[in-house]
Amino acid sequence: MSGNSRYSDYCRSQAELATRLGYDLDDAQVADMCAAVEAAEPAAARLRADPPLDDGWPVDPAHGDAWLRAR
Amino acid sequence: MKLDVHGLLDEYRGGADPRSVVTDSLARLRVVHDALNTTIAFLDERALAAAEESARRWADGTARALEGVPFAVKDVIDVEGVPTTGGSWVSSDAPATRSAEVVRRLEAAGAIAVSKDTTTEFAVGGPHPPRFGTTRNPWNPERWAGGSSMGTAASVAARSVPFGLGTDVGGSVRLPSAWCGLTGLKPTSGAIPRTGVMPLSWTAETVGPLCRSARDVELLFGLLRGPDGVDPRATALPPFIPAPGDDLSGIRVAVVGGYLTEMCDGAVRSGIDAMAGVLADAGAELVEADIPSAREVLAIGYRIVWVEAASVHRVNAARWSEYDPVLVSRISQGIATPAVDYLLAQQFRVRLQRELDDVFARADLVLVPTCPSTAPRLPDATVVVDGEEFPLYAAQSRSTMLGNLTGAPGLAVPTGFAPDGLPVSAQLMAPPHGEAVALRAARVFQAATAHHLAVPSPAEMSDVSSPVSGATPD
Repeated sequence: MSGNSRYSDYCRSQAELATRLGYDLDDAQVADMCAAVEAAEPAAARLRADPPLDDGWPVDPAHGDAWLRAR
Repeated sequence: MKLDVHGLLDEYRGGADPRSVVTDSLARLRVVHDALNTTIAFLDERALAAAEESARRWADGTARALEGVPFAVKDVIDVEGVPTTGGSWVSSDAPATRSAEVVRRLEAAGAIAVSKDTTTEFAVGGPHPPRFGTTRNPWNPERWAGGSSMGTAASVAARSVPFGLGTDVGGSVRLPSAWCGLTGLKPTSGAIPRTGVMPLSWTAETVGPLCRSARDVELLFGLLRGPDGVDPRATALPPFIPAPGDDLSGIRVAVVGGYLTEMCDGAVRSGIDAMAGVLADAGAELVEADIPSAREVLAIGYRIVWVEAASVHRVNAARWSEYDPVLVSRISQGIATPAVDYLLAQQFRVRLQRELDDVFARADLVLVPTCPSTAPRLPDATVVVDGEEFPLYAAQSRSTMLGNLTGAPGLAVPTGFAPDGLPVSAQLMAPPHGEAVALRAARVFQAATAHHLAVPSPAEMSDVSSPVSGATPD
C-alpha cells in the first residue's frame, strides 16, 4: 500500500476483488481488511520463502490429515 | 452445584433427586447470568422433562453413565428445539431440528442440557458481541471470561453446571478454561464429530468439554469420541484406554521453551514449573525440547482460519454490515489471501507435524503455557504479561494454535493463581490420539494439588468494583 489515504489504490483493488467474489463490504471494512493483510504480509513472505519439504516437490497440502490417521 | 460430574454421580447413588438438582442448576444459572451475562437460553422445559426420566431411571436401577448430570452448551452447537444463534443478529431464530452429535451422545448417556451459552459472534468475533454482549469472569467481573466459549466457561466456573461443551478453533475451549480455572480439552482433530456444530474452519475446528477436573474430562471424552458416519474427518480411532494409578514412571514430559515461553507472565511460568515438579515427583522424566517453527504458528494458523471462515461466512456475504466489526476485520483477510498462500499454509502444517514428531520421539507429553497471561481486562480486552500490556490477539493463542494447526490434542489444567487473583494454567499436549496420557498426568497433578477445587465467591462475583482474589483451598 502506498500514499497517505487510508483508502488507497490497493484498497480499491481489494474492494473490487471482494465484490467479484460476492462479498458486500463497505469502505471501512475494506480498509480494515487491507490493513490486516498488510500486517500479515511479513509472515506470508516468510512462508513463501520456505523451501519445499524433503528438497523436492512440495507435499500434498491435504497430507496434514494423514498425521492424524497414521498413529 | 459445587460437585464435579463424578461427585454428582456419587450423590445420585446416595439418593439425590435429579429433579431438584436440575431445578437448582437452572436457578443458579439465572443468578450467575444476572451477574456475569452467561446465558442465551435457559432450557427449563426440556431439562425438567429429562430430569423426570432420570429420577425414574435412578429409582428403577437403569441409570446411564451420566444420568441426571446437567450441562451447558455453547450457542454454536445445536440442541433440538432450540435456536442456535451463534451469538449473532444474523442467525435465524428457528429452532434446531436435531441436536448436534455431541449433544445426542451426552443425552443418550443421561446428561441433561440446561442452557445455551454466550459466545463471541460465530466463535470468532471480539469480546463484545453486539447481540448478547460480553461475559464477565467469575473470578473478577472486571475481567473477560472467554474467548470464545465464554458463557460456558463462566457457568461451569461459577458452579451453575458441572461441565459444558465448547468449540476450539485457535484455543476457544482451552483459553476460557485457563482464564476461569477449568480443565478443558481440545481433542485430536476428528476424534469428536462436529456434526451439528456451526462451522468456522474445517482445518482447525474441534469440539471439546470444559470441566472442573481431569477425571471428568476423561469420562466425557470416552463418551464423546468416535466416528458418527457423517463428519468426514471423524474416522475410526484407536482405543481410548484411561490409565489408573498415580505412578508416572516411564512418562517423559518435554518442557518446551523458546517462542512459547518468551512472552509469558511469571505467574504462568511458576505454574508450569510447579506442574513439572509434581509430575517429576510422580515418576515422570522431564526433558527439554524445542519446536523451531512455533514462532510462525499463530500467523499461519490464522491465515488458514480466516480463509476458511471467509468461505464459510460467504453464506451471509451481503450482511457483514450486521456482524461484529471485529469479526469482519478478522475473517475478511481471508478474502484477500491468494489461494497459493493458503495452500502454502496447509503445507506448513506438515512441517510443524514433523517437528512435533521429533519432540514426541523423545517425549510422551509436551508441557507449555495455555496462555501467557491471566484473563483479559474489560472493556478493552488487553492482557498484562510481567507488567507490560499487550493487545488480546497478540497474546491469546500463542501456544494453543499449535494443536489446532497440527491436530494434536491439548488439555488446559489450572496450576494456581497469579498475584492479581486470577487463575493461571498449563497445557499438556500429546501426539494425535494420545489424550489418555495427558489426562493421566493431569489426574495425577490434580490428586496432588487443589487448584482445580477453588471456587469463586458469589459475593465478589456480582460486584464489578471488587478486586476479587482467588485462592487455592487447603
